[in-house]
Amino acid sequence: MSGDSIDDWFIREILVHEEALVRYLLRRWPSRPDAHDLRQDTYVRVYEAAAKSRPPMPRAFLFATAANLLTDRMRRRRVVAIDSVGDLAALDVVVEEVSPERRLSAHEELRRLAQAIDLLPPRCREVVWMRRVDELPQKEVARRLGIGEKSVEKHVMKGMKLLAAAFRGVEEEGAMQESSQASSEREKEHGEP
Amino acid sequence: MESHRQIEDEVAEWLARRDGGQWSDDDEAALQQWISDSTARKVAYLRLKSTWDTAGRLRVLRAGSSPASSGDGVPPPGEWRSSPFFTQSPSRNEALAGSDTGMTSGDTAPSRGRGRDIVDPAATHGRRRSRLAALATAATVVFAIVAGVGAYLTWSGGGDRYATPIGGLASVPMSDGSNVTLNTDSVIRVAMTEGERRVQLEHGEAFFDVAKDPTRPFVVRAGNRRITAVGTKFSVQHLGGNVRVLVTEGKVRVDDETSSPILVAAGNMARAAGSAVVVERAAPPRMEEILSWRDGYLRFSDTPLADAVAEINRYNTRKVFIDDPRLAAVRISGTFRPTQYEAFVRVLHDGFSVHAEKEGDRITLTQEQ
Repeated sequence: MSGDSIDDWFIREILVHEEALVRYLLRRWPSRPDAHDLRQDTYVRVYEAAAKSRPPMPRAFLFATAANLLTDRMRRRRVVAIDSVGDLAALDVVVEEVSPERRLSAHEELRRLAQAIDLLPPRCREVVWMRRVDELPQKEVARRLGIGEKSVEKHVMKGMKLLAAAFRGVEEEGAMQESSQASSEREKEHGEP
Repeated sequence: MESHRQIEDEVAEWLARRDGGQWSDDDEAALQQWISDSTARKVAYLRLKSTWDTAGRLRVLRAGSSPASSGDGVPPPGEWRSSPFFTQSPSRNEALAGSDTGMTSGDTAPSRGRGRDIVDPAATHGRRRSRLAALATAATVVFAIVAGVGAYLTWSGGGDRYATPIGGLASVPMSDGSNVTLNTDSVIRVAMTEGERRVQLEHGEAFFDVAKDPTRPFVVRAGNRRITAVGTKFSVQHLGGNVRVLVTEGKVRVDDETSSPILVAAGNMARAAGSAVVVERAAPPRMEEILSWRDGYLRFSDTPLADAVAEINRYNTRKVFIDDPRLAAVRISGTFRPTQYEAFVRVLHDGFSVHAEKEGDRITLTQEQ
């Protein structure tokens, strides 16, 4: 009821740093898909730790968690990215806490979302726009586009993932291309998958 | 361990089904159960859901832009940029890229986008509030300084003039990379010289995002006050002889050229009236509230109705008056489109049994018996 559940906290204090986190991981981990798995695992660790007790400096905690995870992985894999060791100074730069002003303003947030929507494959974009901006019921979206409701749902599903990737920060390689292919295939099916 | 892609696919599938509408309580229970089985699902769920929820706020675009508001068809990519909501954006990059989209010298600022009458409180207000709650610390008056006798600075006039009409909001990119956001009914004059970047805020309110240039101070004059910055962010309000400076990043120097200057650092607000200057701390929630106009909204939290009405009146030619001191003291909270005073009045009517009487350009509020 306090409005500050662990979930709210996580969205507000952790997810906002995704762009910086992924950049950090990419600098230290050579493979891009792995970096996104590391991002996910970092989130899991942070969430679980915060469920017990909220860290007072969320951003610093997030990056410290990511750094530990990287160390674990590197030991296991015996792969070391060129600049992945011994640069604690670089970490220090990353972990400085942001002031509220440096967070996205509501305005910038919306701009970024609008940009992210523009990057969606065309049909997916239409569906997302109609559902989220025009607030049309799923049935109506299906009718207007002449596709089945299940297809609308598929587009929504894809739209959610792509929006999160584009909005939250660093785009996953291939995510857009892959999905635009998938979407054009689906559009050919014209209806139920 | 499942890859993040797999988990994300599964979560998105659930969410898309829920979004579809045919969703029972049992479905919801099943989803919550499924999520609670693994933290990986949980975080993926939060990540997708929060983005999707935020995307719902793009509804403001529909209300603001004329081609999209016709109701049929999805506008082509990029058209949202011409929505009033974005042409008046305080973001520097966009303003530079789109500097031909509205603001020109003179009195021709675009009018404020007309949105839904009340911003969806769940989407905007709730989210913001929860964020603010964590940042909240009580605002405390730190110290007060009385400055010397104010001498009015003379300003040679000239320079480029930028103005917004009542209800207007505009973003003005400067040639040095700085950006000024003008609130309703505001006038500035800008002169870029070799040694100084000069802005005269004749009246109204502006937010300055100043590009760093230590060799050329950025000087804002408002009444008899001079606010000097090198590279920082701050807002200045100049209304009826009173000047208020709120610093969100870095620090600025406030003086009136006769007294010793006062340094105002980020998180502080200086108020000058006559020859006195008071500096107080402004907690982050308070700061966001004061600056909410930049996003096209006004946010009140526990604000006396008299103050809220005075604020809203700045944005409308039709003015609201309160005819009852008890009513003036009522405290209100909420997020409003400042130009949508009807919505504001309606909320008062519904929530506080306030009776509104319209007469010409006057709306008088009284308490219903």
